[in-house]
Amino acid sequence: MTGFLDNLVREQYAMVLSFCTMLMGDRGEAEDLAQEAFLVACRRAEEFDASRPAGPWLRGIARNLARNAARRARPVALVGDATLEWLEEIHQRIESRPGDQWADKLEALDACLAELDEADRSALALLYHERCSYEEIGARLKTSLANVKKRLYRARRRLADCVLDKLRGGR
Amino acid sequence: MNDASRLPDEVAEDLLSGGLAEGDAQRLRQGAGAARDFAGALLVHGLLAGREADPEKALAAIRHRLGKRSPARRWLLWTAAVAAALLIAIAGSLLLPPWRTMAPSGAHVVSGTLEGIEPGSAEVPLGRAIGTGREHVVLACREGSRLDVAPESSLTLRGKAGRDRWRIELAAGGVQCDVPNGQDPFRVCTRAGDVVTEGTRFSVRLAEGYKGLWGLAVSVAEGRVRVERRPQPNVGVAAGGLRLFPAPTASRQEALLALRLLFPGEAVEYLATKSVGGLLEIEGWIGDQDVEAVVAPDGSVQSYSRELPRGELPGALPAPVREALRARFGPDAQWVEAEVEFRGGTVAYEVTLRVQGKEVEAKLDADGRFLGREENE
Repeated sequence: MTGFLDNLVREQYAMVLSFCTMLMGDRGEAEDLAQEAFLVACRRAEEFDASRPAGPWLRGIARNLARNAARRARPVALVGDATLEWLEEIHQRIESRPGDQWADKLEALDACLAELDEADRSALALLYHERCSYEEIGARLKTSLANVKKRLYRARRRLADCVLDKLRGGR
Repeated sequence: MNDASRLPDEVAEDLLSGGLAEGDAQRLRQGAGAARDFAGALLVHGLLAGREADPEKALAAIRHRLGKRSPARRWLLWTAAVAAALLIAIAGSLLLPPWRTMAPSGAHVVSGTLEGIEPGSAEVPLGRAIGTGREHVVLACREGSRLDVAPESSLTLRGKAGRDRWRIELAAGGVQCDVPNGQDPFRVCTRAGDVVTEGTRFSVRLAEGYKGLWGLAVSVAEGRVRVERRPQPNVGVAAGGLRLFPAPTASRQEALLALRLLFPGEAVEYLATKSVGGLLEIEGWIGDQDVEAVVAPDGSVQSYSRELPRGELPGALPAPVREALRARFGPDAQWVEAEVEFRGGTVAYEVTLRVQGKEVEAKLDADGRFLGREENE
């Protein structure tokens, strides 16, 4: 059982955290949900069909956990079923890319990041890599809190257009 | 995806980061959660977070939650536990005072209605799940300790001879324990940790947060208690202290849990946290009233406050406070707003009045003594 859990977490945690962050928005809630998804997966290890990919199975568990949280009137998933289906489709498209690990399959993201302007890239790096608060990002970039929020949101929208374009095989 | 109307960038960003109040976020999710721009930003938000994931750290946390231990380590722990138990038993029989070798003889209801006991009986049987409804219930133990059980609480009393003669298993709600001279040792056991008396009057409040996160608020009026939350080190809380476990961070789940602990039984909603001078300020609201707590990094509550309903002023203020304000500012002063603040075991009322066209702020204790005065206009 320990080997099963270790392998599953090492291979799939990045993808599951990514998906859970899309479900919850908040990084702390996403980490909590991702860990819970692996705990459930561990309890249901005998249901896992090793001949099939683990990604959709784990995402299904995370979706159900998020739905159950919504029923208990806890913080709920950010999106409805239609968007979830769209996100699942994108995940399967990323999973079909070459590479062993989730990070290896994200070359489209890396390429698009490189196309962003320096200020946008810095803001995203401070938020995701250095895990700075918005206030800290504002102080580091010498700009207001409102500008930080606008910049981050717009940078991600630009990045999304680029990533989706590359995943569809364009550019 | 449908094509819902676009959100302002800042609002969408707050929604993505969990920075919006839960009520606002839920309303926005209905219409904006699937907007194309928002979904694209959400996708990248997840991809970037996943790119920074640390699987080894996550694995350690998952293993911890699973409570997994290797067979060799489990064997070592069992051996150590048995050896320790033998040593304690031998030492205890030699050193413990005689009252510690006798099991408690029971408790009875002093006031209020307790659920789970025989109808018409005041006797509280040990080992049976009991609970309170909408009112406080006071129990007395034969050895002199008293328990004030908060409304909507569930608990089981157990007793045995030994160091922790009384064991209160608190499943929900809260209990205030008045233990004279520490002669009747109590252990209040909760899923968020145990609180052990060291001769004292104290209260324990348990609340549930997000996804199995449980928190404790421990307030000590006299003496001292020890809080045991394995595997964390034990923490002592001295008289006058009010401390939250776990100590809240800027995480919205922990901040909301802190507010639930400080305002038990209320439909409290979380608004925001900010760090000011090394302290965490947590803001929220209950109905139309703002609430705020200031907490140190170790979980010690510096102060917490609650706005009083404007429509209920001045009636919501204690009579000595009302009378002192009328005496100072006259009967024509208009009541603008008021809040009650708890700080270090004392209560203060901050009241804003309009006096001859000017707004005046005054701060008084519960006995109507002025603690300061400031003119706003």
